[in-house]
Amino acid sequence: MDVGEYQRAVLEHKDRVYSFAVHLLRDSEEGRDVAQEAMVRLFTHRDAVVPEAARAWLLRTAHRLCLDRLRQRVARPQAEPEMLDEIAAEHGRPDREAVGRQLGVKIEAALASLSPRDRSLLLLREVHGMPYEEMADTLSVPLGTLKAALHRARERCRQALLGAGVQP
Amino acid sequence: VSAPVSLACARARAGLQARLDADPAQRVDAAEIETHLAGCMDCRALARELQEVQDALRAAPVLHFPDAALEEVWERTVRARQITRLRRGVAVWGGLAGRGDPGRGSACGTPRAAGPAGTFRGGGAAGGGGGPVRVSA
Repeated sequence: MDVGEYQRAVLEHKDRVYSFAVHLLRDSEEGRDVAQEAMVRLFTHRDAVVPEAARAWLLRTAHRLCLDRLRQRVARPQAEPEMLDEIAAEHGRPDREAVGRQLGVKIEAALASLSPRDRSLLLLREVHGMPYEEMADTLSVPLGTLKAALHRARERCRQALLGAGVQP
Repeated sequence: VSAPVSLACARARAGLQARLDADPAQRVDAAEIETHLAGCMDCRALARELQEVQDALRAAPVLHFPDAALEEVWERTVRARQITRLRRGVAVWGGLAGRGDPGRGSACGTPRAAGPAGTFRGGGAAGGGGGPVRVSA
């Protein structure tokens, strides 16, 4: 893609890439860094990416960068509930409740209890509405494996809600 | 949920997932599922819960990538490229003017040596004027 196509791709997909990274990392600042890095890398590799593949390319790169950060984070305690506050503050919206309500605090907590892999699957499919083929490409897994993994992730998310004593 | 499930339940649950996925590649016998759900309280509860999980996930907001962060992206990509190309152009022009060598100035090898192929073209055949010609990537 040329520079103009790159700019259009970034403008079109930036919010989804950012949302995906924030929800996967559960940290708005790190999510922003990851989204930025993915976009910069896309510029570097733009000659090898057609515009139609930009979304999958960005999300795949963001996914890998997120996994790297999650591995590095093992020893570091995670600030869980602050994420919604940070997001609300960043966007100049003091109504944390509104943000939390939209995301669904219960679901947010359930997602947090899942593995990064399960979280990625559910975010890509349910939050971002990504088609299976694109998901398989993004996560570099065969289609059949992906579908089975998604079913298990959905079930684990449901069980996480029930395990916390919350009726979904 | 942890109790063993019957074959009928297992079939219905696989069908439920496929229905949630709305996956055309997976055939779902809707009538068979509904019949099973009508008579199985556990699967009915599961169906409701899975649907609620999906609804809640789909209601999650798409967050707005901060404008300042986008500006940083442009700085590190498009604008950095423009600056690099300008600098290269200035360097090439400066080099040509400094040398005062008309023979070298008309050659197209010098600009190409300064940057990646295709970034600049010498004036010879393409530009006709002897200076660097900016071309789109």
